[in-house]
Amino acid sequence: MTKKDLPCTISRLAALIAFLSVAFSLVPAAKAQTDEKIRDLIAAAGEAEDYPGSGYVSVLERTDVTVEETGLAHFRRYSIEKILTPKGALERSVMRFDYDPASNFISIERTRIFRASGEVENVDLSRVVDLFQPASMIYWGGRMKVLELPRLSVGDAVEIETYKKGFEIAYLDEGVTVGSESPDEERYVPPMRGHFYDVVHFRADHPIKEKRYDLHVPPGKPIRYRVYNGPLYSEQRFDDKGTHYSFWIYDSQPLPSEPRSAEASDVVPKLVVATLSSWQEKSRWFAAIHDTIYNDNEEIRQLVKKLVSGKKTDVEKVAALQHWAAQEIRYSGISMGKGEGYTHHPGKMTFADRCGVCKDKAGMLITLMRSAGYEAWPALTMAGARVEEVPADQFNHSVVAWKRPDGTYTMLDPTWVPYSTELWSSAEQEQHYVIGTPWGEDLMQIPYSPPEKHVLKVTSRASIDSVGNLRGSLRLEATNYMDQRLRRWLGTHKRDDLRAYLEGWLSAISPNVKVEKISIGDPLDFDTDFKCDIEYRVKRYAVAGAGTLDFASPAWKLGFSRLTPLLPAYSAVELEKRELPLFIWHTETFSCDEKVTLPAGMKIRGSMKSVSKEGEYASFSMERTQEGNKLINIGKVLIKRRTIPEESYLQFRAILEEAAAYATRRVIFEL
Amino acid sequence: MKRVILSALFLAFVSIAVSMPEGAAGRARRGSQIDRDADAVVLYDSLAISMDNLGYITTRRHRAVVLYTDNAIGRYGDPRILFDSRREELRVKTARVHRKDGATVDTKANGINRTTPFGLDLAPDYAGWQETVVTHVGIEKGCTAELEYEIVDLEPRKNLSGLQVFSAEDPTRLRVVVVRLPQGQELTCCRANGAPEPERKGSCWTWTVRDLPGRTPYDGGSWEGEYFPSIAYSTASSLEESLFDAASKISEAGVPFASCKSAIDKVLEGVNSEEEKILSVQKLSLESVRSVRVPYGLLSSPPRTAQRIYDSGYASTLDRAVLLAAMLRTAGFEAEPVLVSLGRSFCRGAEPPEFFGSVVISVSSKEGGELFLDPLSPYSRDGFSMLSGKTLVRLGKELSIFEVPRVDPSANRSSMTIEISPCKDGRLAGHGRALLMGVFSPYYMVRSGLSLEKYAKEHIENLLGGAELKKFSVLSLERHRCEMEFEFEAALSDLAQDERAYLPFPLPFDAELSGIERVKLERSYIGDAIKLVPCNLEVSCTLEIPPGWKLVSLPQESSVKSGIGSAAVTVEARSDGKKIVRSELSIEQDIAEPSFYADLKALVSSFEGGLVVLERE
Repeated sequence: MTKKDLPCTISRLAALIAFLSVAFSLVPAAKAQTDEKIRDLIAAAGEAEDYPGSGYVSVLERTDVTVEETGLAHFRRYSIEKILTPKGALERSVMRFDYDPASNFISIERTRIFRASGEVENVDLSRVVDLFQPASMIYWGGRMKVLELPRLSVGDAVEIETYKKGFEIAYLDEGVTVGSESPDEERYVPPMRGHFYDVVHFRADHPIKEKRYDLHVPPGKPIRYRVYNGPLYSEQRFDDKGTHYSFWIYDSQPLPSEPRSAEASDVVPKLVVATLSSWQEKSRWFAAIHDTIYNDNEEIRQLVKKLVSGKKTDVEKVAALQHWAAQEIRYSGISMGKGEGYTHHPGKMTFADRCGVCKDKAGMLITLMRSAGYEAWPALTMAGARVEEVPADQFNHSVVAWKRPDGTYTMLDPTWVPYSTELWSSAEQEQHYVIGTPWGEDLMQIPYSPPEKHVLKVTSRASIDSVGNLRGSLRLEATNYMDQRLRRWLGTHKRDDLRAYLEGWLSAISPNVKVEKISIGDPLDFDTDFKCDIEYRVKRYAVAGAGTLDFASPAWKLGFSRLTPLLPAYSAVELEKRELPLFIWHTETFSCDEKVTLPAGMKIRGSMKSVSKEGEYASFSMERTQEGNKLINIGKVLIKRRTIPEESYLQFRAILEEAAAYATRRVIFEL
Repeated sequence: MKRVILSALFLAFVSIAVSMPEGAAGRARRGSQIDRDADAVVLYDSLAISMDNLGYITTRRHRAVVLYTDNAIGRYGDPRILFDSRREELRVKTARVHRKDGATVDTKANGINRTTPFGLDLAPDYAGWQETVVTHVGIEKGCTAELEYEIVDLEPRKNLSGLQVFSAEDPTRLRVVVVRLPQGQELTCCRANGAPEPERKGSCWTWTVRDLPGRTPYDGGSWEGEYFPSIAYSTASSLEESLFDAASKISEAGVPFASCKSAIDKVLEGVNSEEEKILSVQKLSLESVRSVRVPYGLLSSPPRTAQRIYDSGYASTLDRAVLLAAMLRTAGFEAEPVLVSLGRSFCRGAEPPEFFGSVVISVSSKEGGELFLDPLSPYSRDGFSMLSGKTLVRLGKELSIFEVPRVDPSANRSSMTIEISPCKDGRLAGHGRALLMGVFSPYYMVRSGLSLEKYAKEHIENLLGGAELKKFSVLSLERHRCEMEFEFEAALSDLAQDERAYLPFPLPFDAELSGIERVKLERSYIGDAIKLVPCNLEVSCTLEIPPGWKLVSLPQESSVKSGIGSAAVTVEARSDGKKIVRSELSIEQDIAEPSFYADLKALVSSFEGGLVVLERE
């Protein structure tokens, strides 16, 4: 991540305000508009040809939020969407509104269709159905209200008003009245009582003509906010009811759909707002709500004793405890009732259930560590995206901080390290986190982990006979994060399909490959280096001419192929250009050590040269030599960063393409 | 009584398994060679379906699986149970883990969670179908996960029917299917591929299968009941009775409706032939709704009315068929839904509704005769040929069943002849001719809106690893025959002096649907069959070596023949120095079962691939 990625600052925003305070008075207050003015807005929004590739345009999206002293927030949303294409009409034929009956309530207040013909049709809201949400891996009882609209046509516009109150972190409670508003307002008050936060994106996958966010907070309740990733118009006002903030944008273009792009929150204009003054405050709260839940019991104590037995150092002991939490607590989340969604399950509960989500696995590890006498604290992080410095809740993941006697922290993540020899997965490098402690911690960041630490090495020994038949052996081994990848690929694949899976990898060498023997280490033996050995042959692999043979390196082909996952960055450069940063999670070194024995007397045609190239985000060095009748391919490709800014993508891609061209080029040998 | 016996059997099995020092894992490993590397072993899997005197059906499933690996835990840890909440009630009876130390851990209420199936969230009409996820707690490697539930009808049914295939993803020790009927009621049973006869005691039929091997499914395009032991059963005494409800509901749902009339009139403006009108209405039907992939069987829920389908803007496969039939009828055509079997029938007129996995619409035109329209995709190939080997049931005024005859390989031919010679600027010039017959004819693709030139361009540009289409002409375009000529150029000159030119030997002009694309040459084994279309694929390439270049290598000559078909590559050196390489593949079967995979692979391997390698002199 470079400085260039960092968001725009309040000063940039402020520069707009003088001009925009004038503009603001011109902003149509849609809710108060007459139908005639709404029609004008719809007409002015344009047609399909103005938005190539989009099925609909959001004419106006307005969110009006009123925060009470308790932190309870009331969200009134108003939107008008104009249908541009028949496909867009089908895409928007059913609207879905998610909610959690225990922590928030949503009501669809009014829906109208402004027909292209000029008619206005009220949608019968008795058509709204209340259903369980689809769910996978996390089963906390989320629900949704679904509204099917009368058939839409191009030029129609859908006006929707909704009201929602509560907060977004889910927990379940007994006796919830599904679908209707609970008279008990307490249900909707956020767990961090008195506080409010929000993260609002101003760019989406569809075009938006105008988007507004109005926030009203009671007198005397200060907020911190900042705009990131681009400017927004803004205004601040106050009266005897409180302070009123407005943020808006015009003509927001749709976010391109690019594979492996950085998270939207890292690239779209966004507002981050919070009533918290600092991360320390959040840290103290997070520690306090977990004050009593990490108690052990005799069973856990016996387990801990067994796990640390024979381990000499603290790191070895903690690693053993984490391996157990990582491997034995499977990822599947069930609700414990009150507190679900934002608090860890008690360690004893997770120990009995042997399942949970990230926070529960973290809670299990803290319980094990505290039982073993280590100081461990719960922590929050955001996997795969930035956390901005405004202390709004921007986390999607819970982890563990081990406080060492010298006061430093070692971060642990039992969710991301199954099959790993790392204590912290390097796919989470450079991530921000906050540790929950009674004294309060600030926002911190995991350090960068260079590619030299994450090496995937292919050792290839092969021979080719005079008619081009290849017989070879491969050894795949890796370090740190790439070791985890290798262990997981081979350790979690269905056993009876493992051979076919590896045959698929080796089809990168040739579709005619015949795998003869496979030997795979124990992926759960963390005391032994993990290796995969494969013996194979390919009939007529090399083109055999009159006294010549030509072929490309089998080992390099395994890296520069979309048929294997060994150098995933290479599979990520299929697009010729990008508008969004490329995000590949981790750094890597792909290393090749190959010797191919040729028939006696064959010499490489032409001169041999080594090649190398250095770039900020990738580099490579490769050498091809001949020693006697052996062809030797040695080299490395380094993926240096996990985020490739869009402006550097072309250079990144060019380096990988150049490396691939050299590495997989057929080389001719002759007598 | 039967249930008691089965439960006792299961409990005995589990109690033995968990009480032994090595637990069930040890038993499973010793029990069978095929279990040795299994992720999981299914100890017991029973399905008991009973119908009471009033016609209410209760379906009970009881399963116990030993879980050895994380892969197995991932697949069995959170089973999902699908049921139709509008007419069924789900009762989870047991969700329990038997741990290695003999302890049991029961799933509590918070581990039983109802969800809406993925894909139905934006299709509220179908969302009566729900999935309850049962989260097993206390799982450890080597434990046994036991699940027992029943789905109870809330309304009676006329018939009880079902179709079971005895295949398994994991080694299965014991699989039992039990059907229990009211006293005196009869069950028609059919079986195939070595499935056992049922054991009958009074009004109870029981099929028992032991030691099913596990295999990872592979999508070879064929229904697994064609090659694994299968049974079908029904209380209906005839096909008419079996399908009466479904047929009458489909018929009632697909009536013409007014609100699509103007859209139909618009697309038919200026269209003269009946065939084109039909295809235009089909295109409109496809564009009128979005597809919803429903998780239940084709006839498990009745269709909605065409009007409702159109108004909602979304449709399942069955609803798409109803909509298409209704729109064709609105346009004045006689449209008839036709049920299509999952595979070859083994029931001889006693097929249960579960045997039908898709539906097409039959409609006739003056020009093209009867067309079988797929409601899910534009009509692009001869529909009847595509249905080869399937059993069809016409849902007309009277039901009629018939089998689509197997295709004669000679009817489907994709043949390409090209001549390549040097031209100026170091390029290669080629001219060729393609003959596409039977399912390979692009006639209907063109009638459904595809540009023939675009079609040809896509195929020709793949030649020699990258060619440029220069000229193209159609000699004939008929329903079952298309012939075209083309010219193209390919570059040789941008290679470095010491580099060779590697020209992939051309593949057939169009081999889509032949089934050879489903063959993965690197795979040593595939556990499922591959669907094929009997056909002949031919490529003939005449090559004149460009001046300043010499030939290094040509594809190897070969000849392979097996029960699946034959393949041959021949090379001829002509006196004028030109080389002619001919590659031919003849597929004679419409399915390659797993035991014939090696034969099929050998054919494809022989036919495909090979390089023409040139280098500068």
